[in-house]
Amino acid sequence: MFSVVIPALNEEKTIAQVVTFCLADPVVSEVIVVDDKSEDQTAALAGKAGAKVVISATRGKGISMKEGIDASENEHIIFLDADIDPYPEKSIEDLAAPLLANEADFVKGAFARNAGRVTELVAKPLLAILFPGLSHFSQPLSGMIAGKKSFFNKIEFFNDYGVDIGILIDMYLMKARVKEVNIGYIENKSKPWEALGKMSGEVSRAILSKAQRHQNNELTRESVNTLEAIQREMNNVLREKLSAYQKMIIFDMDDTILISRFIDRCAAEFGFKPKLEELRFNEKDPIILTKRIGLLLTNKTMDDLLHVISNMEMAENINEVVKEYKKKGYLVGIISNSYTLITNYVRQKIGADFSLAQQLEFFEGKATGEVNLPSYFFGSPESVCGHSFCKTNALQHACEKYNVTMKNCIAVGDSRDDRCMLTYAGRGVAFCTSDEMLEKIADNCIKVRNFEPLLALA
Amino acid sequence: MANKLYNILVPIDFAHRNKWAIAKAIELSNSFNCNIHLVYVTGKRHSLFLRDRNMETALKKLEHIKAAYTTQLCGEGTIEISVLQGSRQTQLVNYIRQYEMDLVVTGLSKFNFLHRIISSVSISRLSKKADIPVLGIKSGGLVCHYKKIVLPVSGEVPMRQIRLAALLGRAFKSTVYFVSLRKHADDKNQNIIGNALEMVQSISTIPVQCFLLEGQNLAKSTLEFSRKINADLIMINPLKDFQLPGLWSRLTNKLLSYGSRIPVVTFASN
Repeated sequence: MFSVVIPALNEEKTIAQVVTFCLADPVVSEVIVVDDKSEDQTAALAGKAGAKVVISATRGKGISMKEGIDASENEHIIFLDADIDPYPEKSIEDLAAPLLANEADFVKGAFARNAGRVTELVAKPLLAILFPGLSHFSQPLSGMIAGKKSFFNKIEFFNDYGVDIGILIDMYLMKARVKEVNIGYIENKSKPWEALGKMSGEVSRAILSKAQRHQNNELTRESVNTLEAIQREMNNVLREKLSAYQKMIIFDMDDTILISRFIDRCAAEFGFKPKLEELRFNEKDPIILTKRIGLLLTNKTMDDLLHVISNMEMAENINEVVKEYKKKGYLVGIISNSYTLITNYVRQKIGADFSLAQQLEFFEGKATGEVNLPSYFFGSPESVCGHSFCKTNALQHACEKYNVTMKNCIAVGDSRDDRCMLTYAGRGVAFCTSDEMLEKIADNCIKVRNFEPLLALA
Repeated sequence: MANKLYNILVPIDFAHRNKWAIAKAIELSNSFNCNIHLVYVTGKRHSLFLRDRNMETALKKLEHIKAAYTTQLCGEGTIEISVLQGSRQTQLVNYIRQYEMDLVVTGLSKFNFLHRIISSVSISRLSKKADIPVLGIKSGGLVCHYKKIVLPVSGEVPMRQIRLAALLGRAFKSTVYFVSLRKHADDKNQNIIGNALEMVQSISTIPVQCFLLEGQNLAKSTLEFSRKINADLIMINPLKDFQLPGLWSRLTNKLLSYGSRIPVVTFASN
C-alpha cells in the first residue's frame, strides 16, 4: 500500500480536491498533508477531506517532505503537489506501477505541460554536463515522485526549489533504479519572472553542490571550463541583446530641473557670492574648482542646505514629464556636479530613479568642506570621451550599471559642462541654454522653461 | 553619428578596386569589432532568367570573397554578404537604413573619370541620401592607421566630422589637423577654426593642430597640405567648397575624394 505525502502552503482552493482524488485510489492507504503554517484554511480543509495533517515545524518544501516521510506508515511513498487540480485520472496508478512491479526504487512523474523555462534553460544543460546519465529525463524538476521509504531515509533534502532535482541526483548516485513515467497532461501555472530567477539560482546550486560532493569538491577542469564558457557567453549575449530594449533619460540639475543654480542660491543665502565669483573666474580646472567651492560650505549643517534647496523653484511640469517617461519604460536619472545630498532630495521630489553627483562630507551633521569625487566621474581607458573628469564618464557608468546603450539615452542639459554628455548620448537636448555651441551640439533645443516638448522624444 | 562603429557597408561590383575597400573595412573591423557587409546590387535591366543567373553567380563570388577575407578578421566582427536587385543607389540606401550601417567604404580607381560619370552611385549622392559617412579608398591609402586626420573647415563648424574624428582619434591615437583658407578666416571675420577647436576639446582629449592655408581653393590647398604632412585621412563635406578647381572638375562635380590618393571620408555636415 502507498502513503501519499502532500506538502502544502496556502492551497485552500485545491487541497480538498487533491486529497479526495488520492483517497479514491485503491493503492492509497493514507494521505498526509504537511502544512507549512498556511495563513488560510488549508490544514482544516485537508483534515475535513480525510487527510492526516502534520503541521510543519519549519517552512520549506524539503523539511515538509522529510516530516511527511517520518509520519508515513508504508514503505512506498508518493509525493504530489497540492496546487494541481485536476490530476490525470491514472496519475497515482502510473507512479505506483514500477514500484509494485519491483522495476524501480524511485519513480519520477513526467507530464506534458506548457514550457518549463528553468527546466530547459538551467537544469537540463547543467545535468548534461555534470550528470550525463540524467540528461534523458524530460522533467527533472517534477515534484510528483514515488519511491521507497528506505531510500528516502538515506538522502538529504534541500529546503528550496533545489529539493526535487537534489532527490533525483541522490537516487542516481545511490545507484537506485530510477524510472520516469509519463502521467499525462497537467496545466501548471507559470511562475512570475521574479520567482524564476530565484528558482534558477536554487536549482543550479543544488546540481553543482551535488556534483562537487560527488567528485570530492573537484569538478573536472573540462566541466568548469564548459560551465564558465556557457555562463560568460550567455551573459554577454543577454546583456548585449537586452540592452537594446532599455532606455534612459538623464537630466542635469542646476538651471535645468532647478530654475537656478543651487550653489548660487547658497552664495546669496550664506554671503559668499564674491568669493564664488572669484573662484569661478580664476580656477579653470574642474576638479580643483569643485573642491574649492566645497570649502565655501564648511560648517553649514545639512538642515541649512536642505532649507536652501527646499525653497528653490523647479522647472514647470518636470514631475509630469518624469512620470510620463517612466510610464514609457525609461529609467530617469540626474547627473550633476552638485552634491548627492541635494540631488537625492531633488530625485525624490521628481520621482527619478537615481542620481549621480559629488559627495559633500559631513561630520556630526555639519559640512567639513571636503568634497569626495566619485570614481565614476573620472575617465578610464574605456571612457568614450577621454576626459579625466566629466559627466560623460558618469553617464557611461549609469549605462553599464543599468545595461542601457548610450544610443538609447536622452541627455538634457544647459551648460558648457553638459556639452560632452549631450554629444555622446543618443539624443542630446539643450534646455534654455545660453551656450551657442551646446545648441549646435544638441539634437534638439528647448528654449522655454517647460519640459513638455521632451514628451515628443519619448 | 554613433559613438562606436557597428556595421560597415562595402558596395561590391567585383572590380579590382573592391579589394582595397574590403582591406580597409577589415582594418577598421579589427579595431572596432564591427561587422562588414558586402553588398552587390544587380541591375534591373536584364531578363528574369539572366537576372536569376546573375544573382546566383554573384552570390557564389561573394561567398568566395567572404571565405578569402574571413581569415583576416581577428576581432569579434563578422562578414555578411547580400545580393540585392534593383536600382543600385536605392537598394544601397535602403540597406543602409534597414541594417543601420555606420560607414560605407568604397574603392576608387586611380583613373576614375569614367566610373564617376557612368556610375549611378556617387560618393556625394550616397552620403547625402543615406546620411552616412562614405570613405573612398585608393590603392595607395591602405597601409597605415589614421594617425593624422585632416579636417578642412569652411562656413560653419563641421560637428559630425568632428565627432567622427574624435571617435577615430580615440581609437587610433590620432592628431587632428584643422585647416582653413586664410581668405575665409579674414573675409568672414569668424573664428571658425577656434570654434572647431573648442568643440573638439569639449568632447574629447585628442591632440589638435590648426593651420591657415594660402590659396583660393580649399580642396586643392587641403590636398597639398595633406600630402605635405603625409596625412592618413581627410574628412570633407559633399559641398562645392570641396570640389577640385577647374572648369572640368566643376562640370563633372569632382570632389576632393576622387582626386586624392589619401583616403577621404565624405559626410554631409549637420
